[in-house]
Amino acid sequence: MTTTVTHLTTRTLLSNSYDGLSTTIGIAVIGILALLLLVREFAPLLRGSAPGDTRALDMAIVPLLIVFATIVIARMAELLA
Amino acid sequence: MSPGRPAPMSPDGQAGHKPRIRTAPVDPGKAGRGARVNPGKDAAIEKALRRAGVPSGRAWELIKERDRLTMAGESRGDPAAPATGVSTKRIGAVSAASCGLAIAAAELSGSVIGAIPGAIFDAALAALLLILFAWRPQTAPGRMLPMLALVALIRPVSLAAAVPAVGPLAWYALAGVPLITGAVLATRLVEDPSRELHLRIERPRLDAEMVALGVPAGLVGYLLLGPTPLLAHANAVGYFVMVAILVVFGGMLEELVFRGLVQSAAVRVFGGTGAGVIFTAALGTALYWGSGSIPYLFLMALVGCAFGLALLRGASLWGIALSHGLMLVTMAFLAQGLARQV
Repeated sequence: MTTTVTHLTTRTLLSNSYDGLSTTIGIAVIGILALLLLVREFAPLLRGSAPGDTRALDMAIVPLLIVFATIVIARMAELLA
Repeated sequence: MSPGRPAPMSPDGQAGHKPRIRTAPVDPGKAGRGARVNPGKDAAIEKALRRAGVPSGRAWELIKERDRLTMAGESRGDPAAPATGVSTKRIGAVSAASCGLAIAAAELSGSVIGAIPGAIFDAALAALLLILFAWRPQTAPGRMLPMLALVALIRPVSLAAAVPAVGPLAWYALAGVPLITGAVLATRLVEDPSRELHLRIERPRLDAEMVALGVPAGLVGYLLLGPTPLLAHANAVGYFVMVAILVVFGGMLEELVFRGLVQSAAVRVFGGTGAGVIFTAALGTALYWGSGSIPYLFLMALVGCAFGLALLRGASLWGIALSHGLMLVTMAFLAQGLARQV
């Protein structure tokens, strides 16, 4: 019904195991998060960017951190169950 | 020369000498890559500056500096910046359209090669756009790049954050929390969020009309899409949670991202309200590709255009978001109600 949860998203979530999802898209998302964190730290050194320039990275870093936390909690819950 | 009138002074203070015109040390044709130089106008400015006692070389430097500041102001969306040059505008529009096409291609590829590869492509694209903006914020598309990155993040976040075990209604919240956080952080890049994102309620009647439009739109949406029920066990608490999740993480999130952030940047980049509204509606529609219903895509394109135009005619983002939320709630209630009867 929405752009976040479409029919294709539902089908993908139901047809794959959580292990499969977290080791494919989960790993990719964590990789992108690591890359953005590196850029955020090193961009001002390399380019002399103003704080406002790297501030744009936060709008992706914070959501990806929340996703990372969700994946960790879900995997921990799976292990403890 | 009349005897009573003093002879003109040259810049070096020698009376009676005709001022020597020096060759400009900075070639106006090379005054910076992409700088807008009007040779005739700039020569006149340089002449006026020399008359005011500014050495010729310094005059050309000032003209070059003015061009640089103008370009930087335009790319940041500075309303005080003078009219944008045609080439800069074209580069910005083409870049933004290319990025939008790449996001749409990733969505379309999801149904061919699988949702996960498409989402990984989207995540890489989002990172690329953000790194480009952080590295060179003065690029022609300007603020459009991070807004498009936010759109590209929707698919990877929705797939990575959703936990299959918790059920469909929770997926909306699990995907919505990180995305709405990102959208709120993105508003920091907007100079005047209240005005640019249309947060002020200026025409309450138009807002009320838009909200009321949500119910028939939801009815049509239900008939075209035929969604499955979201609640396994329907009760009062379940219905309340469903309404809250759909309004906040469905209507408000999507309208803040598309009509608020993307449309305000698109109208600037494409230089026209029509082009900005159509681009935003098309981009939003592309993300509905995974719904698997072409008629529903057309409905969402129409709804997107109607919301975009209403916003530019004075409706507030709150009214639009509530209308979208009500549309989703209507669809969900119809799906739930009919499932109970069966």
